[in-house]
Amino acid sequence: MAIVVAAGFLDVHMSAARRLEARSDLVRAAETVLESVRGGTLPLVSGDVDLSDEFQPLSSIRVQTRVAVTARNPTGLFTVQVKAWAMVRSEDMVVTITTQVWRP
Amino acid sequence: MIAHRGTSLVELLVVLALLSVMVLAGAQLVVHSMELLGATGRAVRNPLVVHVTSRLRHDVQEAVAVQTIEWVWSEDPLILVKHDGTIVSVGLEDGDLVREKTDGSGGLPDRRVILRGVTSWWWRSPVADVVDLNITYLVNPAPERQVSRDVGYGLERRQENLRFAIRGGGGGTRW
Repeated sequence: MAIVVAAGFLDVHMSAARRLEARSDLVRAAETVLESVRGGTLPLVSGDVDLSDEFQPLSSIRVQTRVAVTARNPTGLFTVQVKAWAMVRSEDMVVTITTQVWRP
Repeated sequence: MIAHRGTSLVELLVVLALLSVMVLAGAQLVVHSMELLGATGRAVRNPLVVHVTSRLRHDVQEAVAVQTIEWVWSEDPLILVKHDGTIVSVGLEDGDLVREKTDGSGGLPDRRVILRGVTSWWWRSPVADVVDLNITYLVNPAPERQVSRDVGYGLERRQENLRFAIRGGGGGTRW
């Protein structure tokens, strides 16, 4: 019984470690997309983004990213939402960052 | 007449011995899992690396320009110019990542080692307002392999790939 309980603890901690690593990677991926948009490497348009050249995750996950751009008032102000997601231990994990970009 | 036979002392001792072995094995796993949790926390959010990447993020984002644009990856120091004329240089020297800040007053530069155990430092500026950084440094092994070792034993290389956009002073069109 003690072994079963302890093995359960161990698995939970391993799962937590993988999820923490994956979350860290997703945040960095979303930041890379956002900085690319802000710096002009990526166009300010909505769509899927392939980050294979710019970003390598530290963990063994396959990160996918998408940008959603919405024009706001006044003209030149945009809301940019970056979504990064990956499958981590058979569960979808998603990180979303929303910010504003000023391109008058 | 039915003969009732109780548990002998030997049988009792054997059962107790087996239970003790199981409890010991279980306790070992619990201790192992607790150590793993601590190691995980240290590995995922290494406070020193988080601080260094945060410092680099602010330096690049607050800069108005890179002094010498490198379109391809370069090992030279990254030199950033800030809106008030301050020059910030970040480069690798003998395994240390060194940050040097020089203001326009002509005083001595503020020179500090911000990260030790750095094995490679690369940067590039693929377009004028973007800086890519690639830093490789030594860390303790991953938690599941680190847990049974002493700290500092068998260091591994870890690589950070960072991209930051130059923004300049507050309120500009690059924000």
